Amino acid sequence: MTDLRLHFSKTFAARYISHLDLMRTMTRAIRQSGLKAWYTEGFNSHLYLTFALPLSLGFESLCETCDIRLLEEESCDPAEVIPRINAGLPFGIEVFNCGEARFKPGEIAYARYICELADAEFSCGKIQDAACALLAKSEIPAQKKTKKGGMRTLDLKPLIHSYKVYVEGENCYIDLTVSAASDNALNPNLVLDQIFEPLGRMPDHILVKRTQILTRDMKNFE
Amino acid sequence: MLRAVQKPGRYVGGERGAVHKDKNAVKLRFAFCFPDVYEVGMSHLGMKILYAVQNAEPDVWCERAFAPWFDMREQMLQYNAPLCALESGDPLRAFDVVGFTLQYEMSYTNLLYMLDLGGVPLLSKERGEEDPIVVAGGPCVCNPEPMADFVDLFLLGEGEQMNVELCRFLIRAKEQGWDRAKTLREAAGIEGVYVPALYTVKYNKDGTIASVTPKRGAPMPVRRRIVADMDAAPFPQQIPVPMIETVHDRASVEVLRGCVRGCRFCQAGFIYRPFRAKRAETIDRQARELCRSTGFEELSLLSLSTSDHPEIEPLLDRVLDWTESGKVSLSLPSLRIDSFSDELVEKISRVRKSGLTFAPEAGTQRLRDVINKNIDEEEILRGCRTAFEGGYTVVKLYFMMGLPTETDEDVAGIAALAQKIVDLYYSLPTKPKGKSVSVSISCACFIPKPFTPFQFAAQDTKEEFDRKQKLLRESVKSRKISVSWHDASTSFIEAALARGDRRLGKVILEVYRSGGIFDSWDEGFSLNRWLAAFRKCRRDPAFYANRARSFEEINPWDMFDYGVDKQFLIREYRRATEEQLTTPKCSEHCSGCGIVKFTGRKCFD
Ligand code: SF4
Repeated sequence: MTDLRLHFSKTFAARYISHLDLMRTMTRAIRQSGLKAWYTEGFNSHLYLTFALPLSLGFESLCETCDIRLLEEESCDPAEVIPRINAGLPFGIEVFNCGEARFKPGEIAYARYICELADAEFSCGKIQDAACALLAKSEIPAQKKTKKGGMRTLDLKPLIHSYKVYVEGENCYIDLTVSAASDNALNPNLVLDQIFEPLGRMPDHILVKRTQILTRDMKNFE
Repeated sequence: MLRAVQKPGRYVGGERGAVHKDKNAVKLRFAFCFPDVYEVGMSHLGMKILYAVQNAEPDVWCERAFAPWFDMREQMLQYNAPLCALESGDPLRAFDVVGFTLQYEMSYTNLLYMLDLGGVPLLSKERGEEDPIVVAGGPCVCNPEPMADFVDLFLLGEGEQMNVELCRFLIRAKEQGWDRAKTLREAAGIEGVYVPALYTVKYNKDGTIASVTPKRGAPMPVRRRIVADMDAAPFPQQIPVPMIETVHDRASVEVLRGCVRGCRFCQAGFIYRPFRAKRAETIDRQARELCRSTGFEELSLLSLSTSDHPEIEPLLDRVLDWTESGKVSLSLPSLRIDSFSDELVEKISRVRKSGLTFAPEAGTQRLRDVINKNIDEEEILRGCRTAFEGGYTVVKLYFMMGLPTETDEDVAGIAALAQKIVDLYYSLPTKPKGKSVSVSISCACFIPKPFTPFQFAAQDTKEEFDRKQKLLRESVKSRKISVSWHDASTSFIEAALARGDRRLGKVILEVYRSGGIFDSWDEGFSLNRWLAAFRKCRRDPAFYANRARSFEEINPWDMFDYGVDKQFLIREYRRATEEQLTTPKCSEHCSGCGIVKFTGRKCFD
């Protein structure tokens, strides 16, 4: 058996496909490809799939991964595998590379998100100012839902590795690299909530795109 | 908008297998609308077949649209966004044809809802030259009269050929530059097409129909369409594969059409006659292709009664041969209990051991004879024994309450039958150790439907249903038995619509105008809203639902020829109520329902 990591993007309308639906969709795409992949044993046997870092509903991504196991006889040649799987994927989900898994999901430390923001009322400058003001603080306390349904206060600042705020064309962009370690991952939505709290509401247009998943040494998760 | 709704995946389209064409390069654009949410519509095989059939025409582009759920509706109204088809994102009003499938009466208000949201005038007579032609098909159009105000033309019967003929006709009409009125008038010449505006209905003082008169040479009766050869009928090799979970999230292949049984309450058993089975080879090939192209993990062999397929066992052998190795699980939704042989159990339990579902429909032998269920207690118990011995411990039983001639004894008989099944389980030496049995009773309310022998019968009133449901609850003594039922108020409105006439169009419009959508959902249905609308329009729902009809009365659907003779229905009704005799299976003995005259061929060799 060979472990194979598929690298794919999830953009346009496909960003509204939830994680569970993505698993279903990927399973069917691999089944229709005819590639002989490994199924888990046991009563509830299903196609083995692992996604490194689930993506929030509504986010786009250029750097998703999905690990599968191919049976011996299958070729792992990307030129062969990629088109066969893509033939079974919906518009907006596309495998662009595949190969050996260099890192384990446990080695993921950071993820980089680019948040595109615009509003009919708030100017880009205003959004930019709000973002810079918040991100420059030495502490960013935020309320976070706990698993038990309660709320707790969390300081976001240590979870933000680096950031850049800039205006381009009609939009304001926040380029955020944040912690993505399994026990300490930060959802950029939490940061956006804090940025816009002083403005009273969220802007009309928000598009968050994940562009990189990184290891502790800032290597791309491959 | 999508960020604010619960299931955005319903509204985005983009599925693999969805058909995209250049809208400027096609001659006809057809919006196929399913008047319910995406997950329900996308579970429907007929829609997928017709989608593929129409898109197989290079100059026709058929797209899909579904009813947006309440949360999405709110967003759309707020942003002033019209209802659009999933493929092109164009609003319904931009299409040449907006077509609906009417699978259940309670979706009628959603047809208005979708038209309204799509920018199409609701009333047929208010539509102008620029507006789409609104068409509707599906089982409910065997009595389309309640929807006559809203639909320009109805498509009666099976659509595989008729829908394509209609598309070709409309392209010609466009090329000829015909106006709307001429187009509709000429369309009435296509077999299966019913244009309600071409008929005048007059009424008697007592509210019944006095006469129906066709205008301008429109046909009378209007004949329904039938596909003659099921093996040659088009079947899609590729279908849009939903990304979100749908109600029936699987590949489905129809194995046969029609039914050899003739249960007297069952509309499908009459309006889909004659019985036509696909060859095992065809089914196997279609199933295999569909599973391969979609990657679905589950395959369902669909029909009204799959175990009546003449080659059921070889068929299962063939299919199981590749489904097992391909990790596809097989489901057979409609099995009759009397067909439940050891071999069949052995075959299906190779795949999965979930619960089993049977439909005895009535609790006593007397009533089962009245409805022509042709199944006796011994057979039911034998089927259950086979199932238990095969390792099953969960049995679900479907019944119908309020059937003609039903007495309290019949109601109590439902509980008694369930009790016998529980007792049977505990009497078996081979029962699985340490496992308890569970029998669940699911009770529907009987609804008299057009083109069935019971079309003449009255429906029980809500009070009567409530009383009987209480009686049933009290008759159940074991905790191994659970009971659930359908809401009698929905069934009451459904009964009124099912046998309704054109005058109900005003009621439906009023319900919609007062906020009624998604009436097939608890979240949408309101009995009070319907009653208020009936009152306002001076119509009485009981006139349609709770009144027994004489054989001489002209019913709204009598002008449609579905192939089954009214005389046959009368004969069957008499047998049911007077003699309580059953009618044998078609494959054993022809009862002369009239379909032979209609098709010009014998049903069985
Ligand atoms: S014509 Fe005879 S065999 Fe054919 S459907 Fe009618 S009753 Fe059955």
